[in-house]
Amino acid sequence: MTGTVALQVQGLTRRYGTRVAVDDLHLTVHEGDVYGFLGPNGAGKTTAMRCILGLIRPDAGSISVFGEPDPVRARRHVGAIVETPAFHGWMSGRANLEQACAYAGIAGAEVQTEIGRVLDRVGLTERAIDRAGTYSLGMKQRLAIARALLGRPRLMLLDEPTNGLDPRGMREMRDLIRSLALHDRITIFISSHLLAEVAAICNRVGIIQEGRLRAEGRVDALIGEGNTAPIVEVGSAEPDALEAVVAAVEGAEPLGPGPNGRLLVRLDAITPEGLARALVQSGVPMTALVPTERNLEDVFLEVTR
Amino acid sequence: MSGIPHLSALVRAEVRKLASRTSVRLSIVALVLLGLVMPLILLLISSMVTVTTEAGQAQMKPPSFDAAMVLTTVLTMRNFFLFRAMVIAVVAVSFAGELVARTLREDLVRPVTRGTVLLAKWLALQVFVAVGLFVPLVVAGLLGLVCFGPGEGFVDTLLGAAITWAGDAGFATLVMGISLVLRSVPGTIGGVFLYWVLDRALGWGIKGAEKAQPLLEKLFEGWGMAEAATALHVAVFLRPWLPSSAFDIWWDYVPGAPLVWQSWVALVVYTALAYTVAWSVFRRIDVD
Repeated sequence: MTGTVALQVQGLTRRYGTRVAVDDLHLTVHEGDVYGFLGPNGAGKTTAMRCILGLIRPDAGSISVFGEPDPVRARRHVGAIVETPAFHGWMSGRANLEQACAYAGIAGAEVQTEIGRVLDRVGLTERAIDRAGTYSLGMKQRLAIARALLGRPRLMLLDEPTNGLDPRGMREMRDLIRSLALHDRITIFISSHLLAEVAAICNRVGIIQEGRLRAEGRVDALIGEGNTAPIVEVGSAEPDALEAVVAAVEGAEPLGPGPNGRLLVRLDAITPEGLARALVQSGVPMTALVPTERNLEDVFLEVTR
Repeated sequence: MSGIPHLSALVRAEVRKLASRTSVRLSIVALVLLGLVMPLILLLISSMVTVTTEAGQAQMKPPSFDAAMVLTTVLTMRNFFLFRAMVIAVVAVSFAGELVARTLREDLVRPVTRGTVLLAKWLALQVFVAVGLFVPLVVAGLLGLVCFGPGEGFVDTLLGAAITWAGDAGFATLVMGISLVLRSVPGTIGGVFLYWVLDRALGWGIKGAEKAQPLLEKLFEGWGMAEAATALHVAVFLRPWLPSSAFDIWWDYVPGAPLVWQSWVALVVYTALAYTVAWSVFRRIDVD
């Protein structure tokens, strides 16, 4: 990290009637960061990203990209994918990129060179002459990355880039994003629900809830700090009954189902042995009680509780 | 790093995109066919009415068609409903359609102002309007010249075509404004079509009443309906200022007669107003 600020958001606020979608949001993304922008559904992630891209007018606040406060000039540095990318389906992938070149200010002989470069970067050269409407979702996402790469942006904003992709597509997209950060030296700002994805590729995260930034920092620091109470996974054939019993156990707090379906329980003032004893006494059938390591999901659940 | 795009590059890109749309291609094909078919129909008519006697002398004089008449016929056919329907369809998919399909969003995340985007799309639309006029004119004009010769009113007809272009340019701007206000393809098509039919009916109704004004005024007076006579007078006075008179300005064009200046002023005002409304909406809308 060089210390140069790639994206600075200060006091960003957007209301829809009486509902505040983004509320005095402050965040900083440094050059070289792969920044995960996390939050539950309706937390204001997409609204914030659209404000940053100039698609939605904020009610208050300021945004600068590499120190450029003018939104039009700032967008010279930015490539973006906003939710499901849209293309002119009747045009070829290459023709769609030619359209995008005009809007990116790329002209003359540079157009074909640049299109060749980005198609090669995402591995779509052979299918470039096919109509975009015939592409699979994974290919559309790659074409969207190619389009976002036109003009060699220094910052990429990716809003749920793995949405709807199958496991192979998600893996490819994750590798591509990593590669863009490592080899192309592009600063990445990525919003996602998939905490494991974010944990795998991001060095910093910001967690937003009800339009406000609740936590921000390095992933390892966030995991290491804060509430260090141990968390265990408890399995049961009667998960509803289990959750009710755990809620009644003093010193234990159910956090909801974990990634493998077991109930996550934070042990604030009770040992694992104590919890096991309480569950056995309650008569709820228990199939497993496994200590877990604190991870980004735990941080997320704590922050957005 | 991207540069700031030039307006000319954006217009070229928008024209390329328009030209690749099926609706535009079908429109151009239909207009070429119109330019081809109408002269041939007139040629057929002129040959069918030539009847010769047993002595070999012409009994009926065939209609004396010329290229000017061919052009006038083609223009009239085009102007009535055909091209306006095409304009509505093309504008609906280019503006509301792109907002709904979210392809416009992909342009707006680029280093370009919304004003420039709107201007580029409007200029591309005007290219379509111009092509939609000149394609049938050139086809029908050439065919008419070959089949019938130029005729005396050729230059007047070309002036009429230029006037038609002005009306079409204004109408396309109006549809663009409505499309951005409604932001729905069916809404744009339905809304503009309904407005257009009602406005035309009103304009034509008043025009018909204007022609029969002396007779109607006598009737109204005879029936003791002085208010109706006054209303008719006001309607006739206002007719050149109506949108129908402005956007259908070709309708009042009579070769050699002075132009109806009120309709020209109204055309400029309505076009500027439609563009201003489109711009004020486009400048502020949240794009999903």
